[in-house]
Amino acid sequence: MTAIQEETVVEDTAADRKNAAVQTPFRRILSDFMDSPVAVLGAFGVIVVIFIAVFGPWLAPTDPYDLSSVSFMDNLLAPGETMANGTVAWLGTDGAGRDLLSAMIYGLRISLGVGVGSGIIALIIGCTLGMIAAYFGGRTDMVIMRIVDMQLSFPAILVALILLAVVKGGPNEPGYFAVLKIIAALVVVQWAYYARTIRGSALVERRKEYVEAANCLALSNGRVVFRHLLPNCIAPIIVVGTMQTAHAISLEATLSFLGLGLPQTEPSLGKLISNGFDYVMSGKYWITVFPGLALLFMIVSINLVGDRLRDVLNPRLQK
Amino acid sequence: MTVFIIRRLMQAALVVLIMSFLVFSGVFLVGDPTEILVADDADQAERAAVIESLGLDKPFHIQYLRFLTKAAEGDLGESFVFNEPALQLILDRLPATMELAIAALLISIVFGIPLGVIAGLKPDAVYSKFIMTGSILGFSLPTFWVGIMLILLFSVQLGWLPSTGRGDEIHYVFGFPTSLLTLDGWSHVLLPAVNLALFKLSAVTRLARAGTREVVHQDYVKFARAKGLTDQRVIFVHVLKNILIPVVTVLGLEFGGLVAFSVVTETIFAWPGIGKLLIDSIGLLDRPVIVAYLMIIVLLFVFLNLMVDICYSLLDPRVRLQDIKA
Amino acid sequence: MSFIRRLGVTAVAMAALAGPAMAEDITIGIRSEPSSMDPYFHNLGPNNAMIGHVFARLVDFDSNQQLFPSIAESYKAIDDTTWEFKLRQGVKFHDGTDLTVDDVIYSFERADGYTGGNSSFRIYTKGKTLTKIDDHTLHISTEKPYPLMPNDLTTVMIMSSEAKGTGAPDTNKGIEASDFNDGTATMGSGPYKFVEWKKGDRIVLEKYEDYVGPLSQPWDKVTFRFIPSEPARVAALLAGDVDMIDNVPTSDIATLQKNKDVSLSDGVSNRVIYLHLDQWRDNSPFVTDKDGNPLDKNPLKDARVRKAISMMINRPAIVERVMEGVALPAGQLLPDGFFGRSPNLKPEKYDVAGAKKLLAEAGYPDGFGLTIHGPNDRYINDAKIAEAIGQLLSAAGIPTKVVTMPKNVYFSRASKGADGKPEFSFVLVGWGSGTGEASSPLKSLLATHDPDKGWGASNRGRHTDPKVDALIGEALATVDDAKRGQLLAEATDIAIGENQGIIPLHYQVNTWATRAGLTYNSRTDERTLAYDLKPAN
Repeated sequence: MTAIQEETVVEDTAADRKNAAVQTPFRRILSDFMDSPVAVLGAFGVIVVIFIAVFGPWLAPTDPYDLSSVSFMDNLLAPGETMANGTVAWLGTDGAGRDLLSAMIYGLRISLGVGVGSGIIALIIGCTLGMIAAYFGGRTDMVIMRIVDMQLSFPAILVALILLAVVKGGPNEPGYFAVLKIIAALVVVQWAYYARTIRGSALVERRKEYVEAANCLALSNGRVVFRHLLPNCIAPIIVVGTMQTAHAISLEATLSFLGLGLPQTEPSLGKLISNGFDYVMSGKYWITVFPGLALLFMIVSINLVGDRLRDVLNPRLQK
Repeated sequence: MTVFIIRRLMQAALVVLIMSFLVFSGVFLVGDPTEILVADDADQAERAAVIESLGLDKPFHIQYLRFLTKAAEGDLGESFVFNEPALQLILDRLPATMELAIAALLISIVFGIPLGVIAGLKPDAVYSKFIMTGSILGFSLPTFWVGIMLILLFSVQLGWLPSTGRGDEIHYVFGFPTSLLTLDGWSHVLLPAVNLALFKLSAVTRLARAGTREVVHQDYVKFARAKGLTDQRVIFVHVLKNILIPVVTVLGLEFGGLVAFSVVTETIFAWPGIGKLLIDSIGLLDRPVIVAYLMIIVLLFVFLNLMVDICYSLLDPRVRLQDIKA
Repeated sequence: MSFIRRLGVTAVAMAALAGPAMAEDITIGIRSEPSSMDPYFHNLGPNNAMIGHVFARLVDFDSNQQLFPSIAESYKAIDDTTWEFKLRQGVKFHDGTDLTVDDVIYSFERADGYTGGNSSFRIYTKGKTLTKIDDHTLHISTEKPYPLMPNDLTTVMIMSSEAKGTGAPDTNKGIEASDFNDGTATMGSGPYKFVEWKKGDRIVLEKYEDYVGPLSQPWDKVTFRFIPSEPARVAALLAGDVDMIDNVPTSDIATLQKNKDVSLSDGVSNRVIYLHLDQWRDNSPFVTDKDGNPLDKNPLKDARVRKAISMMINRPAIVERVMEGVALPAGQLLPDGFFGRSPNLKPEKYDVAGAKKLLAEAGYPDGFGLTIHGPNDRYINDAKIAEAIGQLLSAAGIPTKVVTMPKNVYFSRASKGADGKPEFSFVLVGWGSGTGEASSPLKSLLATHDPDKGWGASNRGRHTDPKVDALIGEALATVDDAKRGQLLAEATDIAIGENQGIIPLHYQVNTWATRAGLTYNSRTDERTLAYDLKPAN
């Protein structure tokens, strides 16, 4: 095994050297990325998902969030049956009579927004605090890490419940308000995971020569942390990041399952799956299987891209 | 080392105190449980009597101070729902959850690390891609959904394993009750443990792979190979030792997560552990149990973090406890 | 595992063929775990069902909530204010001691004086004076005539006065809830003895060989397992891990009906699902114009508007599609066969045109905006029902938002809000009549909210009408059954028929599923009882 592997590494290196002269870093990353067919497939998937998310309202056959047009008289139709208004429900309808295809297209937008939105915010907060804790150490580290401990022990459901009870919506609460509440709950729950992981990696990096060298050059703390420490911790950040994004999406489904998710009448993909949970024993497979497949497609795509990016961006894998 | 540990323990006390305040006030904000506890038929006087007997008629600071005073004597209050000491309720149920968490942790380590190392050593092989894509499945699908599918397949369709519940026979090992000494116990724990382990299994696999990928390119591994060490030795001594740091961090934390939030798995599989207790308690706003529960869990996390930091220093000589004396 | 279990079943069956009946064990998967084995700690459905196996009552309800004497052999009113109860001879507690009037009095004292419980039985014991005539004769008297005496006595279970606890003797007779939970004080005279309670997992009961009374004892050992997740409970039955489950989800009923290994039994319950509308605020927070701006007055205060909303609801369709046929459209507080119903009230007909005409009459030809609030983990398909109502009203010209939340947040906000007043304008709720007749829902839901009197405790819309109050008051003091029934029906006619104080939707139907070869006698009070489960003939 070693022989073959060394060979590929040598080849890669040679190719890199050849291209290095003519390529900007971005192009190098892009060409590296394109080397993996699986990753390209993933990227294609991500583009499809983003396309659906952006153009959803124009793609969907019906508006599943318009209560006056959705009727429970159409509920539980099997795939291919026709609804009362003449539209064919290609993927069937759910328990409330929504066309499942339309509901999935709309739900995908929400799930993607919730997952990526909460993931990015949590990542920024978590990484910053994790870096600071590792770099400065001492009392700063102690305070941050004890907050992390507390945060890790605080269950998402309790955070969501407190938000639900405390941030009371009036009659004019806009629809996105509920989404923001869920994002807030997910950020609160997730940032600590980033902080803990980043701190672990940064602690190791901190002792390495290049950081000491940077310190010797009397570079500012911020510069050392963000220009030197951060890039070298990028691999675990991406691993945790892509996983946590996926996890956030399924956590949102779990919150829905526990009755604390998004509004009943504007379901996300996760909420559709958890609604389908009531029907798993009933033989009405489509209610839970199709949204499940859509969720799977989205998360697998994101992670294929994430996996490749991690390899491509990791300075230590480049020779 | 000793100073380090003592300092950590003192911090732990402070953390638990802050935590108790946060949870106490959080649940206080959600509301009082009388509306869901009392019988429908109860009149207003009866409702008021229940509020009074639970001490919920007092202002927040009085309630919290009363809680602290009693907590100082080791009494974390009585459950609103069961009228039994909250701590006792939790401790009674802890062994069942520990059992489940340990089984899940074993599954994730025993399968996760080898799969990750294999995928990391030959990242371009078809089976590596298979492992990696498979691991994505582990954290994409919501736990509740996977759980019911496991039951459908292995209990209803195939009839191999019991659908829900914990083994009947409980044996005591060093004073700890466990159901894992019988085949029946294992047959009950298997499905929930797999369900609970899926996410961790994926995490371990991916971390182990990422670590392996990095380590094989490092000079000391190349050097070890150049010295003519066998592949096995390189893998077991050099690669494994170096990928263990992120794995240990994550596992340390994840074990806490396994114990603390096996909520969904325990609900689906009707496993009589603390996760089910927590979700029931949150459902009924049983504040004494929620507060006591989270105080215990935060202690567990502080302890696990301490263990993780100690493991760091043992596994990686570059990390010294002085650096992380916090 | 399950083969071992199946082998066991076969062995039992073969043994039954070979000779006299052998030990018969049964496992029942139930959704809700009781909160205590203390009979007076918590007046809660799952508790009353479970503890009723171990502790018997003087008078009990059969599966249709009709009264029958249990520990009492007979009872009658001897004058306007006094009832006489004759106790059955030979009734023994599980420790072998005799049950006498002293035990009954002891039980009432503990129930009445209970401190620290989560809704005591005091509402059923207060105002009653117990007098011992002899060991087996008891007189219970009240100051005013009290017709619901036998109904009230179905709630208080009888414990042994010699049961020992470990607590301080000054509260609750020195017996704490934990003394019941570990079996120390769990000393009743019911058909089953308490064996153990593994919290979160199971309660095990065993046949009491010396039981004297009218209840049957079809099983030697009964294990109740707590399986809260709906599909998992169904799966446990299909996998053969349990012999019966309660609260079968409506979505699974059609599939289970086709399954030869399963038999279902369902029955209408005493629970009505209804909508309450804000009838007391001039500006109701969740009633707006169609664009979401506040209105200068509250349209829900107008009975015509409430009636119109009721007419916009297609009840048969909700029952058919949302409840999958497992519910009955409702027009009042209790389904057919219950005491105190009105013969006049039928489920409102679905009539959007008529509703729009009524709305126009009331001055809202273009409708207005509304938000319906409902729980999502309390009643059968509650969130789906709220959504269906939202769809129907939106389509009929009242754009309605649907907000659902878990019961722990929902009920305190719906009843008390932040300022002690109901927070919402339009709520979905349910009511099960514990007494099995109409005075209980009338008094709590439609009588004027009055904390001093203890009326209108769940009147979240604050419906008020002096005529209704007067009729309820008169009914509660009328011992003559026929007359009382008439008064209650009249009160219902005014409160629902004329005022539309609430909008009834449907009566819940509960479903139990057993493995083939067993049959469950479905109950209106939603209880799951081992002695109502029998081998099918």
